[in-house]
Amino acid sequence: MIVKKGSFVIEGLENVQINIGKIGEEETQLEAEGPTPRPEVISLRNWDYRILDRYNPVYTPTSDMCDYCTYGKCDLTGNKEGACGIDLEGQSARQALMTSVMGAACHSAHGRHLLHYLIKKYGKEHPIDVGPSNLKAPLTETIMGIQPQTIGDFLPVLDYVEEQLTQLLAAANTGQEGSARDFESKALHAGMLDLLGMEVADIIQISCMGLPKSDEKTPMAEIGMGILDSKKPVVICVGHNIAAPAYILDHMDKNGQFDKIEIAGLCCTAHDMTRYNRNAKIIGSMSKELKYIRSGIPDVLVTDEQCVRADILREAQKLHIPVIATNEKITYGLPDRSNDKVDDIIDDLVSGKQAGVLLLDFEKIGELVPKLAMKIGPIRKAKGLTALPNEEEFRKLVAKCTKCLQCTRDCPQSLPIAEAMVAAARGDLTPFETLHDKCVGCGRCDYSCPVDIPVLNVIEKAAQRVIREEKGKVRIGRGQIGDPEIREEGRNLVLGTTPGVLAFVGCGNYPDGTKDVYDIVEEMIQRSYIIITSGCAAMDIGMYKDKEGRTLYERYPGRFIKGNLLNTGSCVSNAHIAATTIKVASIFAGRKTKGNWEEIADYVLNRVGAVGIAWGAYSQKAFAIGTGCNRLGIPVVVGPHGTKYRRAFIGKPYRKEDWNVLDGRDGSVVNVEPAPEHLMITAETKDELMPLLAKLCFRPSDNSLGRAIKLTHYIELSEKYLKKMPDDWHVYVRSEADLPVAKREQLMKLLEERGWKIDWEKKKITEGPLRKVDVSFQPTNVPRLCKEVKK
Amino acid sequence: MNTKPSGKTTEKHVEKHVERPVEKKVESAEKILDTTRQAVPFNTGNIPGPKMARAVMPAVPGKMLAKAKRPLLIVGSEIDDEDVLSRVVTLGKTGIQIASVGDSYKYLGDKGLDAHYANMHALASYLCDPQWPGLDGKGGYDLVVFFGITYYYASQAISALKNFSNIKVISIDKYYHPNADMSFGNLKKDVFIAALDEVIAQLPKK
Repeated sequence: MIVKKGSFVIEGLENVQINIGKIGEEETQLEAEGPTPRPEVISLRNWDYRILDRYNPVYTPTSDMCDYCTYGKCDLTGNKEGACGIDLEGQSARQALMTSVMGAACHSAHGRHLLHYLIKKYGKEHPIDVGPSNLKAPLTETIMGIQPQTIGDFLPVLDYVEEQLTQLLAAANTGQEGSARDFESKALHAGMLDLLGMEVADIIQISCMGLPKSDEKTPMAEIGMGILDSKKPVVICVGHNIAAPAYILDHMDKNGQFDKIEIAGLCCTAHDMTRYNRNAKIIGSMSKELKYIRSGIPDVLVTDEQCVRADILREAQKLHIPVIATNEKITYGLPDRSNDKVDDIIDDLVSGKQAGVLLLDFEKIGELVPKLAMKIGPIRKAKGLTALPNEEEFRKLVAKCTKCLQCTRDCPQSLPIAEAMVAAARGDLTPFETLHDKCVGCGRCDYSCPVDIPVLNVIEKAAQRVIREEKGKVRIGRGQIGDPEIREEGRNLVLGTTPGVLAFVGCGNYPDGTKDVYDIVEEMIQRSYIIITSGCAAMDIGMYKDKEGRTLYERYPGRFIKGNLLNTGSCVSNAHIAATTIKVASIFAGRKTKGNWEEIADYVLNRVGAVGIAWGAYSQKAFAIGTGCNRLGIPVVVGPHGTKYRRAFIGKPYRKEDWNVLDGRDGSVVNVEPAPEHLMITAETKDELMPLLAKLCFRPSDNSLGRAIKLTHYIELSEKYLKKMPDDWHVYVRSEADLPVAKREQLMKLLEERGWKIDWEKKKITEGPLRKVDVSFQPTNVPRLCKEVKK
Repeated sequence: MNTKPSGKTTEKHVEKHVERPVEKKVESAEKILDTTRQAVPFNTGNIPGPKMARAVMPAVPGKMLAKAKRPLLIVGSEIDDEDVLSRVVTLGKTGIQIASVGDSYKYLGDKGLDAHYANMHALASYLCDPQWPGLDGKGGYDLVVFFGITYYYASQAISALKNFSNIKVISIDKYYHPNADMSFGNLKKDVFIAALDEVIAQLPKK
């Protein structure tokens, strides 16, 4: 019951407690402009079907078995049915759903934790402030149909997300959903919820904690394994949630300790620490976690949530590094010392009586961590604690290698470790230095060695020279893209004269080292693509320098215009990247957003040349983000490891009927070029990736100038990296005006060889293209959006 | 100080390298050429289920390639090795159509072969579709043979073919690929090259 006005009387009730939460406000805020505010599990199913009919799910199972229930294990090889009736296709789709739900739950729970904490500290009425934007929370508006003004307005948003995720997870139980297509629709729903949960998390921390607000000129932060002064006590925060590290930074600030203690982060917590306090530094992505711990440099490890290694306590304990767990999601069996005195806890940690503690009182964390670092740091450093071998031990270890290759077989990257051992035995450390960049620091090699060589330690020891030089710069996360920037650039994006927005996101499980990301970004930014980054990818881009010693962040500014490099921030800042496309639809094209997901996504799919790249994606979170982007009409490319996500969305360009769209002016059917050709796909190498990115930026709405620019890059990148003209370049030509001016005549000759008719006198194509250019064309996949539906 | 992760090799009794790649010194490739040994997934954890590839000697894929009406050879980014590349070219010269996945086209484009660029993931999807007109528009394929692709990437792509198509898939790579119908075991390079030569020897000369 919602009471907006007046009074009510309840008679005859005694000993009844009535709790009044939030009356009426939700009603007054609901300003839905579209048909699906707060979409339920199947509200957007028709849109999902449209996507899935064109971009067919492609399953690449890692296991042909299902062992979810006690009927099993069931052998589903060859798409057989298991005991419950599910086949391998359905089981693979169910796994896609569960992966998406896990990722969405992770970000949303992060948001919920922050919201509880920030409401307690700042109150529900604390206003939202994200910078110069009217569209402050684009995903919230598009999904929920409300325009939040205060952080308290996000309470019903997270209630909604949590309720929907419960419904989705229920569908995965044995005996529930059985259709692969509907599992995928649900996975897309979970992906959308993930974007929403991330937006809440980042907007509230930006609004309350003073993080940069759409600031294109944020300062640089230091990054790398070689940046810290290891003579000082070192505090390393690991994970994603800024709440606890903020208290440590505040305490250090208040007590003037930044020149006495080094404090840095691993993974996305690091981004948010630098956004919160510029004295913080970044060590790097999760790939550096085990390596850095084993170096022995950290004196205190502070964990929060997400991307924290499961063995962090065991590893730290061996080197007498106390672990302070600050979040109830990761507790490692540690004693909860939240109610104990700080000095008592410190005594127990310094003496080694306890390897770590669970501490959920932020005030105490803020006080304890710097104090502990000052106390234990000198003790640890005096002992020279490190897992790395000394020179003599190193020589003996590399000589022990039997070259059995078991480490290579267990390595996610199949690295040639034995070859590097042989070279090191000869005194040549170069192969190990190369391996260091390609190694994801998982430590699986340690398990596999039959002669007990601690392989990861050997790699790190051998790479000390390059590790010392690992000193880069990252532009601190800016948060959202402001409305004024969208106004300036939106037109170029939709018409195609800016060739595309490429979003480099995700984790560090790269197929061939971190340098690839730098190389790809450098190539594409020089071609005037807008590069937006977040998370670990944003870190790795800043790890390398040009001949003048400048990182890409120092070479390219951070505004949302062509040829710029923007860092939005941490993992939850990914929401702003997706939301940018909503802003383009709203601000540039005047599309209504509130409760209008389908129309916005349809607009993005057909008109906004944005592509996500998660080259090193490893987590369920990355999958959920990608799936959410897919539902919003944004194609995503992942590295070859992405095949282990087991599901992609791949278009079939040879099936002409899949590429019919409607012209919004009259509902007529137009057969268009495959643009974008895929929604989620992998590439094997960076050389394959680059032309693929250019291709995925094509959109049916491109004008001729824009199409010519995009075609130029597609052809040039293919010629440069694959040594060939793309086989399908002609598919994207609608008229001679679509051809790059510099190559127009040459390309027209090639078209003539393909059987196209050319009027050489007028230099015009007279026959051949799939369709003509029509500047007024209004491509849409949604019949109800057509002004007049043709029968 | 040299430490070992606790519980990794001692406390947990992790089984170590029961199977190993061929290690015997090769004096004569012909003499010891046995591609059925070490038929365990190259990445230790890559065990898909009860159906795994039959380990075969090189003559088997060679003869199957010779008999196939419309075979397709898929090669990827690991053909940059000179010895491997020359075998790809030789195979291509016999007239077998090549799907050049990853960035491998840059090694093949100037060799006068019937080679076509393809994305491996998309290709796996198309091969599962009976309506796919093929790389040259002349129809689908009855046999797929592959090598020279990043191990785990190929393994995943083949799992799509294994479970969602009727196409015969043979690995003639240096790795044992459990998702293929037939595969070599894990081979050292000299044995691998000798095995490729043996496959080629079964094919009619053009």
